[in-house]
Order: sequence, then C-alpha cells, then structure tokens
Amino acid sequence: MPVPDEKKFIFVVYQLFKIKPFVRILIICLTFLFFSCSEADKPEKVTVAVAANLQFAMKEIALEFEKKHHIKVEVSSGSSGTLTTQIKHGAPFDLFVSANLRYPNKLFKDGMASKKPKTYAFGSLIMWSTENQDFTDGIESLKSSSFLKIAVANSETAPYGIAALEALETANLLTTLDKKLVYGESVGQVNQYVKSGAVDVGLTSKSVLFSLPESERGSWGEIDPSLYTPIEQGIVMLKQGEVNNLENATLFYDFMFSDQVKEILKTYGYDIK
Amino acid sequence: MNWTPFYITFKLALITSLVLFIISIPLAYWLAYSKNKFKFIVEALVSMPIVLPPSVLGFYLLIALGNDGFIGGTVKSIFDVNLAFTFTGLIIGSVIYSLPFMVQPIQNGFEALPSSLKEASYTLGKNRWTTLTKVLLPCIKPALLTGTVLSFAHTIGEFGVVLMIGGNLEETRVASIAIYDSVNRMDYDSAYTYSFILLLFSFVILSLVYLVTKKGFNAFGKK
Repeated sequence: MPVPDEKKFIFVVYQLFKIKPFVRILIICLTFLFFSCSEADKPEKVTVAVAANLQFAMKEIALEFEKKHHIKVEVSSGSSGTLTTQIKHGAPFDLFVSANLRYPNKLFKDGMASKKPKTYAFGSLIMWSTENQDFTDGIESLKSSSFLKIAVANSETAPYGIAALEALETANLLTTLDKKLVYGESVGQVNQYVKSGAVDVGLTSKSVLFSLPESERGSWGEIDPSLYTPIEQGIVMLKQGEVNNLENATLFYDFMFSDQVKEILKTYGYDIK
Repeated sequence: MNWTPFYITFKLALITSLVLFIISIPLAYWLAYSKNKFKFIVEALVSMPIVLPPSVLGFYLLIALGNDGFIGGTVKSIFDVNLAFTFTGLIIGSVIYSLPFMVQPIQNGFEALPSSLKEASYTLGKNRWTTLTKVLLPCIKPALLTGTVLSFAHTIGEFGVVLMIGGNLEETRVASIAIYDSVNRMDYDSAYTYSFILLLFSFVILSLVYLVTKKGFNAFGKK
C-alpha cells in the first residue's frame, strides 16, 4: 500500500474518532441511568410469592388489599417448589402463599420463617379441556381414546402435580396413561398447554375456570377428592418480611384470613374449612 | 399495559453493554496481541456462554450469588446486600452471559488490522496507549459498534439466566420473563404485545448493525 493512501486512511479514521458521537451517547445514557437509579423513596409495598394455582384469585385479593390499605402488592408466581428454592437462595419475599403445607413447613424447619405455616384454603383438582368432552365417568373418562396427550404439573415442584399423579395411581390408571402424560412446570403451564390446544386435557386447579369468561371455559370434570390427599394450601411469613417489612407483611397475612378474602377464595372454587 | 419490564430490560441491557465495553477492550486487546501460550484457555472461557445452556450458567450463578454462595455470602456479610434475585445480580449474570458477543468482534477487529498501522504509530514515537486510542480503536469502530449492539441485543433476549438468578420478581422482571409470566397467567394479550415489541426491536437492531457495518467499511474507502 502506498504511504499517502495509508496516511489518508488514518486521517479519515482520526476525523471520525474526533466526533465521537458514540462516546457522547454513552455518557448521556450513563448520566441518565445514574439519575434514574437514585429513586430513593420506597413506596409502601408487600412482596408475595404466590403458587401458580392461586394467581387468579390473588389478582383480585391484591386489588382489594391495595384498595383497603393503599399498600402495593408485588406478586411473583411460579410453582411452589421453584419459589421455595428461590426463597432458600435469598429471594426477597415477605410472604409465601404456597399450594401445599409441605414447602412452607420445610422453610419453617430450615429457619427461613419463625412462625408455623397456616392453612388458608383447600384446593381441588379437575380435568379440563377446551374442547367439548365427556367427563361423566370421573377420572375413568381419561381412558377415552380422544385424549392423546394429558398434561399434569411436575410432581417434583408442583403440589397439584403430586395430587394428579396420586389420583391416577389410586384409580389404577397411571400405568395405562403413563405414555400420554405431558409435564408442565406448574399448573400455570398445564393451563397454558390446555388453552393453546397443545394437549387434549389437563389436570389442573379448579381456580383456572373462574379466571376465564364462561364462554371460554370449555368442558371440565371434578376428580373425586377421595382419590388424592387434600391439597391443603398454606401461607407463611418469611424472616425477610418479618425483619424488613413486618407491619405490611402482618397486614397482608391477616388479610388472607379475613372474610373478604374467604369469599374471594370461594368464588374461585377453593374450600375453606 | 405495564411498561416496567421494558424499562428494566433496557436499563439492564444498557448497563451491561457499558460494563462490557469497558472490560472487553483490554481483554480483546490482550487476546489479539498476546503471545502467551495459554491464551487459548482464556479464549475458551470467554466463549463458553455461547455454547453453555443458559440454565447451566444460571444455576452456577445462583449457587455463587445466593446468600450461601461464596460471592453472594461475602458481599452480603460486607455490604449487607443480596445479589441473587436483585437487579445487581442480573447485571453480573448478563455481563458474563454476553461477554463473548462483545469480546469476539473487537478481537476480530484488532486481528484484522494490518500490523503496519501499529508499527507506523510506534515508529512515529507514539506509546502503546496513544496507539490504542488514536489509531487502533478508531480503526475498528465498526467492530466496536457491532460488539456493543450485539451484546445489547443479546442481553435483551436473555431468558434462562435471568429466570434462574432473577426469578420472576417486580425488580427483575425483564421483558422475556414478562412474556413467560403472562403466558402462564393466560394473559395472551400482554404476551402478544410484549412479544411483538421484542420481535420488532430485534429486527430493527439487526438491520442497524448490518447497515452501519457496511457503511463503516465503505467509509474506509474499500473499493
């Protein structure tokens, strides 16, 4: 390469670099970010980890709670098992509203909570399909050849998955249907499989029905409660909430046992005893 | 429509690319010019996030950043702040996750430069710093831009790592997690909107990369 060309080349590049619009944009962005980071005023809030089956009812409960106490409810939903793992690794939740008692008890035993978990509702398991299906035979209806794929929640992380497998086993259907089972992370994912038509039927929480307008509910059938251990859903206040946010956490904890919430839970198909 | 996930996503991507920009230049410079025979190990480490499943990376990060982890635990005992399930934790995760997308273009940029450029600068009495900032970096501007835009975009598309170390909390709910969350809530309207915006964004940003890199090369008089 002849020298003048290369000199010209360096010169052009040097000119380009002198403008440095890129660097300038970076600096502007940086300043903006540092300002936006310093929002020091923390709003009143309570952070709640919610089992996937309860998220529909929780939406309404949170709304009522916000209306009543003017405290924001931050909801994070997932399978109870996943949430438990997150809490163990330091996820900043004030309360844990689980789909069973086992996980809250585990956290209580591990010292992540100082008060014993308490039952707030009993959940029920249903078979749900977006198509018009015949569920009159109860759980036996699942043997029908029209069900090629059956979604259940993962029994490692989701209490409704444990209940579903237990019911299938008690009814002696597990071995026959084993190949048709599709596992979702939580009932949330099971619902999604059913709703999108990826599976023909799903074993899920009854509450899903009440989150949908009546025209979109499809067909469903109850699973005989004697086939599975009652799904006793527990709530526990976590150390995190006790130490950092006791007042709001207590308000929400008590609210979960108020008549108002009991009514909401009932409309979503939960049993209160 | 809740726009917070997008705000969090862009903030995360912006900070991540800034941090990466700063640490990747010296790293790429070393990788491009060093004659160390163990260089390949560092190169492999830097590129690991490309082939490693995000869940693997996320799992290790969760173990390391959690309150019992050796990084998370140390930080917690000194500063009393959590790393796992916080925005800070997400930044750490994203920086590692997007590192190759910044380092590789810059390294390739350095390697593609004729050594005569560097030599000319040294002969003219410029030191290494001046040579780097006034000659080498300006020459690889397209590479710098590509690296920044790619790591920005890659951070926006992050899912597995964020889900593992950020969970699905208000503070850490980036757009990709918000999509996952709204699908699980059967809130398809939000999922459609979030997804479409991300789709559009990815297209625009990639078009920009191709446009700019082409223009950048043209400016260098390649005929």
